[in-house]
Amino acid sequence: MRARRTSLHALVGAYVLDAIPDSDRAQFERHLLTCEQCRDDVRGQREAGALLAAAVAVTPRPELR
Amino acid sequence: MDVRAGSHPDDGPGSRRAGSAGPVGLEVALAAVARGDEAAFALVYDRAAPAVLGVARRILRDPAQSEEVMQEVLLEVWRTAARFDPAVGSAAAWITMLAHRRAVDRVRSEQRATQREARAATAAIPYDEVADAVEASLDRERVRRCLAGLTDLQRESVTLAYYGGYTYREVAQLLGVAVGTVKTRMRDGLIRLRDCLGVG
Repeated sequence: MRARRTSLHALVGAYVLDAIPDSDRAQFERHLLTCEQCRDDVRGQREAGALLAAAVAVTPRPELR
Repeated sequence: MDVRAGSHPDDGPGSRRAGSAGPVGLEVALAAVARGDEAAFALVYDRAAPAVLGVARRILRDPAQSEEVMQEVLLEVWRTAARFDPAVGSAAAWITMLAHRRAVDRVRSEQRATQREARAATAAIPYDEVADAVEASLDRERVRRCLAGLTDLQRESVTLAYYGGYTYREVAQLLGVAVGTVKTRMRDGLIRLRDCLGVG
């Protein structure tokens, strides 16, 4: 169904941000298996996510090591 | 985390500069961890733990829970390093994905969205720490600058989700906009960030 496919594709940003409720995540991950564009988007956007994480890095206490 | 290893604007798409972050790139270290190399894991810990802890702190707020999540994530890295596939992305992206997922799962199971303070999620990137290495503060500055280049709605959608752990429906409610709008802003915001940061 084209409408559903379109709306699933629109979730790629939310997926990378872990902003999809758990109940819907499996559905999007199934979609990922069939959508190369989405996989490419996820790959690239995850790299941006890595820098969002680096930007708030906090040195752990030495005791935790 | 030194995320510059393997991602540089001059590289072609999909190429990795594994050695660019110093003597051992994070990707190489992870491959060694997959073989049980404890010294390599110590290196991964030193490079990765600060970003993991930082993400957990932003999302969970509570220092003790944040530390627990950090340790769980590093343990997961130790145990599942063999699952990292360099063709799919950088080691930093893989590790921060594990960290973010775990922190979000934890905050959703422990705190109802209505009880969480959204303001913390959209707080500015900190000008941190006396101990901040030059590369780390350069990374912060890049992210700050690139976030500033998004529209307000893109930036708030991305930061409420990434740093706040909210779902797109919760973000829509917090911002008073339609769910479809939030989905689009999240995607567009991440694409613009990716391009501005010169990664992916």
